[in-house]
Amino acid sequence: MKIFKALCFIWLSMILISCGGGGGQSIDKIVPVDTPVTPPVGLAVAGFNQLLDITWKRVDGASSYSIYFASEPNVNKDNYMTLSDGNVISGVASNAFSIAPLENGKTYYLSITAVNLKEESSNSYEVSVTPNYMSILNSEVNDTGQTGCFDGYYNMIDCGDEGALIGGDSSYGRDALMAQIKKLGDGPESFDFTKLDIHGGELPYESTSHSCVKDNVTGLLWEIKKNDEQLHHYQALYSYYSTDKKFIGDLPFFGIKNGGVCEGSDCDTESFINAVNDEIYCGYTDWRVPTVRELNTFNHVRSHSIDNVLYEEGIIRFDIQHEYSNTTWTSTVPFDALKPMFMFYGGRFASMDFFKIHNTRLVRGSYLGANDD
Amino acid sequence: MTKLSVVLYLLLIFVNFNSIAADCSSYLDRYVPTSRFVIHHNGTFTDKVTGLMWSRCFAGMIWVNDKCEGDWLESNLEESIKQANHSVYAGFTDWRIPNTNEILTIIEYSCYPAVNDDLIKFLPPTTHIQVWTNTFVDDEATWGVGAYMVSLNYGAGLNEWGATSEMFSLHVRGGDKI
Repeated sequence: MKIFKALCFIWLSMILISCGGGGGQSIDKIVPVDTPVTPPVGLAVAGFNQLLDITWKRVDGASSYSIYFASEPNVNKDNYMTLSDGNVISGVASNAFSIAPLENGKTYYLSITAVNLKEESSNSYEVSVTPNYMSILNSEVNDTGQTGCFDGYYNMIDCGDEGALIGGDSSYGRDALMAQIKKLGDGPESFDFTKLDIHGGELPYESTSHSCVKDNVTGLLWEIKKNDEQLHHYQALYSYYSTDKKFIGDLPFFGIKNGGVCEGSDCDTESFINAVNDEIYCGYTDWRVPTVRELNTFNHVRSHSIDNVLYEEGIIRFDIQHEYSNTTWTSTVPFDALKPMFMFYGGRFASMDFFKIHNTRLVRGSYLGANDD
Repeated sequence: MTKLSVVLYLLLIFVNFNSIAADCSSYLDRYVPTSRFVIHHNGTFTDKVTGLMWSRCFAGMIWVNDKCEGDWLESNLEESIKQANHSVYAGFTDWRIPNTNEILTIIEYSCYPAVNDDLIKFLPPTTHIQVWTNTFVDDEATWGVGAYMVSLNYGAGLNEWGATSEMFSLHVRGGDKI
């Protein structure tokens, strides 16, 4: 009986293990191993930062593939060792592979063979690619303005000082490339802003009468608050209301209508947006509440997050300040329906519920290839 | 035997659920659509818009046979930065921790945890996945220097956090070094 139990256990284990194994490689059509293999076709190659991706069509009967490459043309299995950067990657089981690290700006030539137990095919036709690097200067990613380094204990110090921990924000990105940056406008550290008047006309950087600020890095246009007891008043507070979003599952709940304290419109975000669009503010009628990731791009982090340098430099003329609320809405709706809305205060983002009122800084434009609204 | 098989079965469930997958909202659009990225075959992916290359595994793990293997690194700010400085992953040695703007480009607010798990694999099996940024913040009144972090489970906002706290890291490369 004991033996039976043991056998049964082993048998059951095998079943369970085979059930739990998951995955599994796809098996090529079974072809006798002595059948010759043909060289792969359908090669496609793409270059990235010190990396290339190559794919090809599977070859019937192949058990693996070999990728021959060099930085000179006409590479094959016989000559690759004599060519610059000549190399081979053998035993590749799938029909896709990434090769890294490679040198950016250098052109690599590749040719593939199919291999089975009997033989290796002749070389495929050749493809070439040049891995390249997209500089942060060409992307929409703003930097943070941070220039100091952490000492690993409790202090911010100059990055050149002894004990500075390298690898922080100030070592990378636009702020680290200040010498190479050509700004369309001006701004602290690597920030690059152009001020606009209420009709969208450009103003000098020194102007204090601007209504909007264009971020020349992200492409976003920001509303600037005013101290005029009117529509753009910096102490206005709005409830969140939006009829174009479903917030909590499929419940028809759009927020709180006209629940704030403000001038020039009903005091909810949608009414405020409509009023600003009616003005054709700075030349645009597609204003909206920014997302978390957009609002963070308009925040200069020095050491204390609440010391917003953009405010001190007069880019943001009247900061959103109120004894009750130094906060502003974002349109980002997180998955967690219990905390359906983000707010922003002094560089932090946190979840908040609808039953609060906050200021709102509007934005227009798209970020990261999408209109975030 | 029944007991043994139950134990074995539970063990298998544990193995299979050792890392968790993201649960995504059916009514919100994705903030981080997979179509914005190229997924490479060595455990990395490239953002076609920002040009940044990211690790598909959390810091501490390596990519083997289309999976993340090893243990999730969960450590204080200094150790996390040093580990990134010394990291060798997918053949690259220039990995680092992202800054606040960079991490927000891959936070998927419409999922829980807040990542696109087509891209980032093998999430730590905890309800407190907090990841460091390398953007420091000095709050002398409370805990001195720390950094912003993102909680992938609760709210996914940026928060200031003390340097001695232990958190996970995601690694990025590119973005130009001095």
